Amino acid sequence: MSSPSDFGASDSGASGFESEPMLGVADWTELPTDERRCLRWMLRTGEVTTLQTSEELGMDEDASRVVLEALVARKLAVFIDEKIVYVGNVGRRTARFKPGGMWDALADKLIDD
Amino acid sequence: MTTVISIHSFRGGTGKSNTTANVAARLAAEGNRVAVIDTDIQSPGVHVIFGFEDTPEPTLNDYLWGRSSIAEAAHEITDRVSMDMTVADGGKLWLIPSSIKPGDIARVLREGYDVGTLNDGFRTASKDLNLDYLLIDTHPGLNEETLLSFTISDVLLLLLRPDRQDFQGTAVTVDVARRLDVPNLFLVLNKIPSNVDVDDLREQMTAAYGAETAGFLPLAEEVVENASGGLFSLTSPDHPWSKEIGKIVARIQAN
Repeated sequence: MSSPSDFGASDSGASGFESEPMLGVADWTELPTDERRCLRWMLRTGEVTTLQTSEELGMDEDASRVVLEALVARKLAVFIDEKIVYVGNVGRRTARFKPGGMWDALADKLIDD
Repeated sequence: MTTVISIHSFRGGTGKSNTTANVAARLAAEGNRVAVIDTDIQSPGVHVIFGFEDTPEPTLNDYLWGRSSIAEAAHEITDRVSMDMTVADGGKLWLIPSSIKPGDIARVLREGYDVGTLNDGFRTASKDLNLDYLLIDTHPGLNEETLLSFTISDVLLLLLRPDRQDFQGTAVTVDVARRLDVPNLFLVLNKIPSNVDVDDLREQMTAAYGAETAGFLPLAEEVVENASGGLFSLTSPDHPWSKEIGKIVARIQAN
């Protein structure tokens, strides 16, 4: 699997995405199947438990915890306590590349009008 | 459980918003609770097809900036359907528009927003409005938001024209959609010239993409003249274009 640093690391913001060591949406295509299935379900469901995850993925609770921990390690999910897993950090669309301050000036004018 | 449908195309001008609005209206007319969310924040437009000159407020932008809830940004517009077609019992339509104000668009481009908040909005709107269908009108091309909408969608309608650029771009999009395990992927071919053999085209599409084509929308002067000025499939239900919209709706509901 590709390293997070391979994606959008230092393009001066021209792509519109922040440079930080986390997996973006574009990286989800490279996730192992179980993790991708789990992530997809969590995005639709919100907060989930390991028991719910095991039922959704059709595996025992220990195996589902391994999948969840992998997503946590990739910063795609966060454990709130022993039982609840919460999807976090889907990503932020940053500002577009601003050539020579022109866009700043234009945006200022449009926002103020 | 809400069926989430993303309407997407690799390139612009394929007719996404027109298709989204007409499919949503027909689903609502059949008695479903339907919402359309315009995630094309940089170039919003689906509100025009529903008859709005300005976007009703609050908008999706207000929600993303924490100025409103997603429910407050969801405007019930069932009357836009019932003025032209009988709506079956229980049918409702909401629009969650993106702002057309230049300042709001400039702010999004300048400051960005949390894509996770957008996803939370999808989920909350589905639950709060008790939706049967959530239709996501997307920005063309592959970007953070469109990939997110692919990932959470039950159905992906991929629009393309019979055009080499569209064919190539669609191949890329189909590949990405399959990697993201989109459960149901349908192609919709739009703006088909009258001299094209649709049966032959259907075979070519299936062979090229390994995906079903849910609709073959003809290039119709009447649709062009309508110029996004209303819900064509409701005002002209017997037109061949409208009948194809009906086929797309039927295919979605068959899932």
